[in-house]
Amino acid sequence: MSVLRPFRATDLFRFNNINLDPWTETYSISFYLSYLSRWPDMCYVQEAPNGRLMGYVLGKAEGGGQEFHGHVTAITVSPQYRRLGLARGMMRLIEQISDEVYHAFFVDLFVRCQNKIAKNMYQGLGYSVWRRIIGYYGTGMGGGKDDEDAFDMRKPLSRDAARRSVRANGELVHVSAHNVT
Amino acid sequence: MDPLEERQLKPIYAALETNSLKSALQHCNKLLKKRPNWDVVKALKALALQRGLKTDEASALCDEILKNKPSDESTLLALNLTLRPLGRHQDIVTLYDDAFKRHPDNEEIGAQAFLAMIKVRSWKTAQQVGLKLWKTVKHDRYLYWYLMSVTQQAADPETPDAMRKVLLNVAARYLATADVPSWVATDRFYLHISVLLGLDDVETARQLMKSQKGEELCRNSLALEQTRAELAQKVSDWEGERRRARGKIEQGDFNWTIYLALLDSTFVAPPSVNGQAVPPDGEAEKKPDAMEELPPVPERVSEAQAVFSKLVASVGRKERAPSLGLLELEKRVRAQQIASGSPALVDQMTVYLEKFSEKPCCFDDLKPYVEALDEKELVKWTDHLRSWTPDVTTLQALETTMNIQKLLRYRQTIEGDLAPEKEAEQAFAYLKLYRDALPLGKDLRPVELQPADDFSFLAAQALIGAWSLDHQLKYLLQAVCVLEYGLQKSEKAYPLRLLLICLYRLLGASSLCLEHYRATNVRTVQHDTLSWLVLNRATTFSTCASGDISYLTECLEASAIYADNWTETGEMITKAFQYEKYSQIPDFLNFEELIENSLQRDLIRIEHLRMTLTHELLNNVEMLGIPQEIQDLELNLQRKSNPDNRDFSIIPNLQPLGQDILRQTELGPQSKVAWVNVFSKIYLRSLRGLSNVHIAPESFTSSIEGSEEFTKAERAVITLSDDLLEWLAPIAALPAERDSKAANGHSNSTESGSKTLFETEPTKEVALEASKRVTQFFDDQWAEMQKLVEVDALPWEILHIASIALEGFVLVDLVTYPFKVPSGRAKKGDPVFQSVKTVRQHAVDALRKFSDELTRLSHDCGSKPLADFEALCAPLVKDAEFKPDFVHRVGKKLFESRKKMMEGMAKGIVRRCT
Repeated sequence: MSVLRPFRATDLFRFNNINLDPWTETYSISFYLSYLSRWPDMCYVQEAPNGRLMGYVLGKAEGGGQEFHGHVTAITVSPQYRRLGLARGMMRLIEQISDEVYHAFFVDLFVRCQNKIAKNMYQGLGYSVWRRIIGYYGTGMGGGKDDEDAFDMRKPLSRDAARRSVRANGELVHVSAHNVT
Repeated sequence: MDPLEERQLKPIYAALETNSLKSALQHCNKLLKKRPNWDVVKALKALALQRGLKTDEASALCDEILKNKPSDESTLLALNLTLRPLGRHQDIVTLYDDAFKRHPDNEEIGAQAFLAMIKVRSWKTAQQVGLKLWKTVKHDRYLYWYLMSVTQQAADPETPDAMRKVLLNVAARYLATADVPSWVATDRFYLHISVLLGLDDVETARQLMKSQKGEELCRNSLALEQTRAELAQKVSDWEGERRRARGKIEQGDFNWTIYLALLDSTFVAPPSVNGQAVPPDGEAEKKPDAMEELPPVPERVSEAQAVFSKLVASVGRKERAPSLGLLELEKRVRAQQIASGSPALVDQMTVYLEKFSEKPCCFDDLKPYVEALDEKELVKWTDHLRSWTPDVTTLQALETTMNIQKLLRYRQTIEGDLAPEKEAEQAFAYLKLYRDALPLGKDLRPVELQPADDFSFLAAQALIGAWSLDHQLKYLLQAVCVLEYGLQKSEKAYPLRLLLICLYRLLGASSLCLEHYRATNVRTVQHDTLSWLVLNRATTFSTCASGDISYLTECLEASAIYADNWTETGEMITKAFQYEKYSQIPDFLNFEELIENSLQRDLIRIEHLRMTLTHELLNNVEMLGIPQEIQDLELNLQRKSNPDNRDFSIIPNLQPLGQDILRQTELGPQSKVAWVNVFSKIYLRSLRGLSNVHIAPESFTSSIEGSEEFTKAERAVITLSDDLLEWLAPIAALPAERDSKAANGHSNSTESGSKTLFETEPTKEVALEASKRVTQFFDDQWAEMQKLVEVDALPWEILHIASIALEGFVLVDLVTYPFKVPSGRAKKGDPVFQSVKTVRQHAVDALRKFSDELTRLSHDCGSKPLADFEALCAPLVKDAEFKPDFVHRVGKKLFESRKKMMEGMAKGIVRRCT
C-alpha cells in the first residue's frame, strides 16, 4: 500500500532514506533530470501515506528495430519498505508503458549475478536471463565475480509474439561490459 | 568562422577549460593587439576576467561588445557565460533578441534566443520568439514552446490578471485551430489542459479528458490521471470520482491514491439545499446537470466498508491497502461522528497488527491511528502490546517484536514512564533484544544491514532520552558506545552513523564527525539536503586558524552542487523543451530555483566566511577575496525566497510522542532565514567598512529580539557588531585624507575635504561609551566560559563560546583595521584613536585566556577522563556484554578527537590574535 506516482525533480530532495544504501548510487542532477526530460513516463516513485519516499524506478526506451525495448536503469526500495511488493508494482507499470506507449519488444534490466533474491523475483515476474555481462559492476563490494558481473534479464512484451527475447541458457552467453551501453 | 580564426582561438578555449585564467588573458591580449575589435576574443577576455573576479573590468568589456550587437554564435555564447554570473540577465535577453532580429530565418539562433530567455525567465520575449519561430519554421514544436512560456507568464504573480487572460485566450485560440491535435503527444495534451485550466475553462478541459483519446492518454499517464481527478473535484463530480475509484479498487488497483479518492469522496459534504455539492475547501462550484447525486454519507461509508472488507478477505497478507483503508475509514468515521457499526478502531488496529506485524513499516502504518485513540482505548491497546512476548529467534519474530517495542515506546509518555532511570532501563532491555537477535545476521556480509540494527537505534535513542531529562553525561557516552557497537556490526546502517555524528558534535569530537559523515558517501544533490549534519554552526569546530582546513574544504565540496545546478538543471530545462516534455518544465524551473536560493547554501556560505576570517590575517587581505564575498553576501540578502531543502527526517525519530531526537541532539536552535540575514548583514557591513564603503547604521540586536534562531553567544556577538558600529562608524564615515592610503589596500578615492573627527563632543562620548561595551563583550564571554567549565558543560558549548569570542575579535579586527595606523581620520592622541588600541589589546588579552583555558581542557582529555569514561560506561560491560576493550577504544578515539579540537582552537586563537 503506497502512492505510486510520477517521479518529480523535487523528489531528489527527499530520496536520502533510499539512497543512503550501499547498493544504491547517487548520481549527478543531470542523470536524473535527463531521464525525466526524455522518459518521464518511465520514472516513478512509491510514497508512504506519511509522505516518506519508499522507492523509485528510472527507466528508458532505447534500441533500434527488433531491439527496441524498455530498460530499467534503476529500481530501488528503502530497507524499511522491502518485502511489500513495491518493486513489483513499479515493474508492472514500466512494462505497461513500454508495451502500450512505446510499443517496445521487451523490457530488460541488469542485476548483480550474486543477487539471488532479486533474480528470483524477476523470474517470478516473467524475466529470464538473456546474457551475462562481464565486469558490469566494476570491482563490486568484495563479493567476487558474481558481484562484479550482471545478468541481463528480459521479458517479452506483446509485440514480441515470437518470444525472440527469451532464450535457453542465457546465463552461458557472456559479453563484455564494454560492448553494452 | 574560418579555420585560421578557429586555430587562433583554440589556446584561449583550452586555457579557460583548465581555468588557467592568466594564460587565457595573455592569449586574448595578444590577439587583440593585432585586431582590437575582434568581438569573440573580447568576449572570451571578459569571461576570463569575470572568472578571475575582476567583475568591473569584465562588465565594462561586455558593454563594449554589446554596443556592436554581435550575432555570431561563439560571441553570443561567451557573452552569455560572462553576463550570467554578473547578474546581467536582461542584457543576455537583449543580446539574443537582437541577434535573432538580424537573422530571423536562423532557427538555431532563434531557438537559442528562446532558451536564453527561458533561463532568465523572460517569458514575454520568449513568447514572441517562440511564435516567430513557429511561423517561420512551421514546426509545431515551437507553437508549444510558445504555449509553455504563456503558461509560465500567466502563472507569474506579477502578471496582471487582465493580461493573463488575454495571453491565455490567444493561446487557447491557437490550440483550437492548430492543424495537429494536441493529443498526439501526452505532454502536448498536458500543456493544452494547463492553458484551459489557466482560463478556468474546466468544462472544455473535462471534455478533452473524457474524449476517447483523453481517456487513452490518462490510462498510461499517472500525471494526466492526477490532473483529471483534480478537474473532477473542481466541478464537484464526487460521485463520478467515487464510482471510478471504487471500480479501480475492485479491479485490484492498490495505489493508495485511488483509495484516498474513494475515502475523500465518501466523506465529502452532502449536497446543500440548493442542490450544489460543497467541496472540502468550501468553495462552491457550478455543478453541471449531467453529474450524478451523491448518496447519503452512511450509505457511502457502508459501500466503502464492503469494498475494503471483501478485498481484505481475498488478498490476505499480500496487500496492506484494503486493511489500511478500513483503518482510515474508521478514523474518519470517528472524526465525523458517524455511526458505522464497524468494530472499534482499537480492535481493527489489533487485527492489522496481527496481520502485518512482520513488515518493518507496520509501526509507521499504525502511528496515525495510535494518535487517534482515546485514553480508554489506549490502555486496551497498550495491554494488547504488552501481552506479546518478545521473541527474536526468527526474522519474522524479530520484526514483530521490533514493531511492538516501537509502538509501546511511541505512547510511553502517557504512562509517565519518562524518568531517566526508566529510559536507561528501557535502553538496556532493547540492548538485550539486540544482542539476542544478532545471531540472525551472523552470516551476512559486512556491507549488508543487520536485521537487529533498529534495536541498537532504539537503545541509543532511549539513552539520549534519559540524558535529555537529567543531563547526566553517562547516558550520552553510553549512547555513543551503543551506536559505535551497532556500526561495528552493520557498517552501512546510516541512521546509526548520522545519529552518532550528532552526538560527536555535542561532545566536541569534530574530526570523528567528519570521518563518519564522509563514510556516508554524501554526493551531488545530497550536499544540499544533508550537509547540515556537519556544517551548521561549523565555525564552532573550525580549527582553520591553526592550519586544519578540513571544515573549510567540506564547505567548498558541499557548495559545488550550487554551481552544478546552474549548469546541469539549466541544460536539462533546454532538453525538456527539445524533447517536448512540457509536464517536466515547471518542475525543473522550480527545482533549479529551490537549489539556487537554498537556505543551506547561504548557511554554508556564511560558515565558510566566518572560518576564512579566522584563518586569514587581514594583512593577507588579498587572500580573502573581499569583493566576491561582498557580492555573495548581497546575493544572500536579495533573495525573494530562501527555501529550506534540508532533510531533517533522515534520522528516524523513535522517541515517545512529543519528543524529537533531532531537537535533543542539535547544537542550539535551528538556524533559518533570520540567522542568514543577520550574519550576512554583519559581515557585509564589516567587509564594506574594510573597503571604506559605509552604509546607514542599522541595529541588528533589536531586529532579532523575537527570533528563536540564535544562541545566547550569537546574540552577544550581534550586539557587539552594533556596538562596534556605534563606536567607530562616525569616524569611519568621514572621508580619509587624499594622501592616506588605507593600509588594507582597498581605499576608495575621496572627494570631499577634511572634517573634524567628531562634529560634537557628545558624539565622541557616545562613541567612547560604545567602546567600553565592546571590551565588556570579551569579559562577558570569558565569564560565560568559566561558568560553563565550572558546571562541566558539554564540550560544544565551551567551543561555541570560544569560537564566538574569536569571531568577536575578528569583527573588532575588521572594523578597527583602518585605524591601526594614525591617519587623517584618527590622529594619534585622540581619545577615540586611543580607544582602538585599548580595545584591541583588551580583546587580545581576553582571547589569550580562552586559549589557555582550551589548552588546559585539552590536557583533560588524557588517561584520567578516559578512566572516568570507562567507569560511566561500565553498565554496558556489566549488563550488555560489551567488551571492556571496545569501550576503551571508543573512549580513546573520542578523547583524542576532542583533544585535537581543543588544542587546534587554542593554537588558532593565539595565531589569529597576535
